[in-house]
Amino acid sequence: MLPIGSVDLSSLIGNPERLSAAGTAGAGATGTNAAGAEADGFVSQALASAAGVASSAAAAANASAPAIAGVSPTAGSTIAASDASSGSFSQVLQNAVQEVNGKMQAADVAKTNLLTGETSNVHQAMIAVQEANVAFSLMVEVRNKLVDSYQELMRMQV
Amino acid sequence: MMNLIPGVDATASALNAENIRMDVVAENIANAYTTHGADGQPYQRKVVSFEAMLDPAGTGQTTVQVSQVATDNTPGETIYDPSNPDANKEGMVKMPNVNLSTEMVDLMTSSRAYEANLAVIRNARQMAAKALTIGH
Repeated sequence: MLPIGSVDLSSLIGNPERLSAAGTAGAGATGTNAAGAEADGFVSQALASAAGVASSAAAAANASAPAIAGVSPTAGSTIAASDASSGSFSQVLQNAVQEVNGKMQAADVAKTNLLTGETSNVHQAMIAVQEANVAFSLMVEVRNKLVDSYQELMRMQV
Repeated sequence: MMNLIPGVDATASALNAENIRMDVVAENIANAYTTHGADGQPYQRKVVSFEAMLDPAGTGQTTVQVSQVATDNTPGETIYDPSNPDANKEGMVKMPNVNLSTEMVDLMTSSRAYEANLAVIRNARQMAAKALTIGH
């Protein structure tokens, strides 16, 4: 049962279309998934890169804002107001990535408990692994959208 | 806590419940010829009953759990076997009330129910994965 899970996970993580930059890091994390510290390190690394993309995207947006300040000066202030009320975007992103990380750690714990014989519920370990799998692919999609938007900004004519 | 795979808590509880049912069927089959239990009486078969409950994790789903494992008290058959240590003065032995055909049907029912729940999980996961391809 575990080979199925790891094949699923690796086929997803190793998908070159979805994870061009983080592909190698993802494959490394899959190989050493049993070691929680390594998987942890990978997710936080992904978090760092995602946060970096977010901040640079925000910086790019800010940099371009003065250029179009005459067009819509109110738009920026409303966005800033909504950010202040619901936490900054990078904060939201960080929480989401931490939740994904938590799911991966829960899947690790379930797998370890199964392999060490502490529980005999195969399905619970498998479900935990699948949940972590789906959560991870959601995180990857969000990251791809962020990178896309950053590149879209970079392509802007100045 | 984000719930990415729809219905996963209800299905997980059903898989747990079917596991317990399978355990009980295994006990019944294993003791189909046990003429002497802890109380000196032949083994009485056990039956599980399920009950619906609100998910304790607070997801609002109605999950399932085993409400009780009851003992079936219908008397078993009595056979003539004077060589059995549990035979009475007339050489009659009280056998357990386990009927192997009934237990096999229970086993198949439990196994198919388990498969059905696995199919739910598989489809729910595929739905979540397909939803993530929106925009590709």
